[in-house]
Amino acid sequence: MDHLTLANNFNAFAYELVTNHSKINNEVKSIQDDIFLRRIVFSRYYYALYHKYLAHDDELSSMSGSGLHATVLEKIKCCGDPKLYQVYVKLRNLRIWADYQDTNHLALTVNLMTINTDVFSIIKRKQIKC
Amino acid sequence: MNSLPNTSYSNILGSFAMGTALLLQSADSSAVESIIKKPKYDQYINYDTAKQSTQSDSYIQNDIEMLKILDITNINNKINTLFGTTITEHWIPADGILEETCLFIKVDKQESFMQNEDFELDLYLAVKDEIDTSSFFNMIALM
Repeated sequence: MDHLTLANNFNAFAYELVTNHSKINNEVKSIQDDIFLRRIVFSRYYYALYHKYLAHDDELSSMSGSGLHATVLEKIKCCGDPKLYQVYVKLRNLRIWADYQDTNHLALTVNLMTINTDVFSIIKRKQIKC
Repeated sequence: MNSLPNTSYSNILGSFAMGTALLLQSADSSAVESIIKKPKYDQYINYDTAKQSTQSDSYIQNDIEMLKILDITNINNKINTLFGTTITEHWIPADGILEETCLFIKVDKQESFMQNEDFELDLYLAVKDEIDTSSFFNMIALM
């Protein structure tokens, strides 16, 4: 599967979770459910951005390995696009909580709809020029 | 050619011994006792409760936390000056883990500020100088 398809799929999956989250938010729901959902959402949105960037970088798109994440970050940092840099760093940090950290209830206060809007604004771009 | 003053080795050793004795006299008696009562090489010692300099409550660790709070205070002052609001909560989820650390904040009356969809980016650009000079944060974002 190519990077652009992966980016779109990850974004669509996270978007579906976020919209469902806002629908069920009024119902009785455990904090644990909310934590699980946020862990998945943060991780999917991060990978949506990661693959979106790779889809537009001919040099990195065919490469693989864990070091690639840091390389992508370095290139985005030098990109001169503060919005892209901000959203990418924000999600990269949230993914650390999602994948590796114990529960922190401050994660429950992160505004999912804002992230949703921010990621979508990048996913729908025709080009990412760095 | 420069030469040392005419001092014999015995004078130097005598001065060292006297200095050591004075130092031991002024030192805490329990500390001296622990030095004197050094265990034998094959004696088992339980160090589980021993205080070590790398403990999380060490003064160095506290200094780092203090510097972090100072950085956040500087950012808060700038936000207060430019936007007329203050930080009410902060969170650093990848503290000490990632090379690019994001400071997540919540500000007073955040919902009304969020009517401007560029507020989060404006906030980052407004405090970019403070973020760039900070040793702890590379980015700021809203919770």
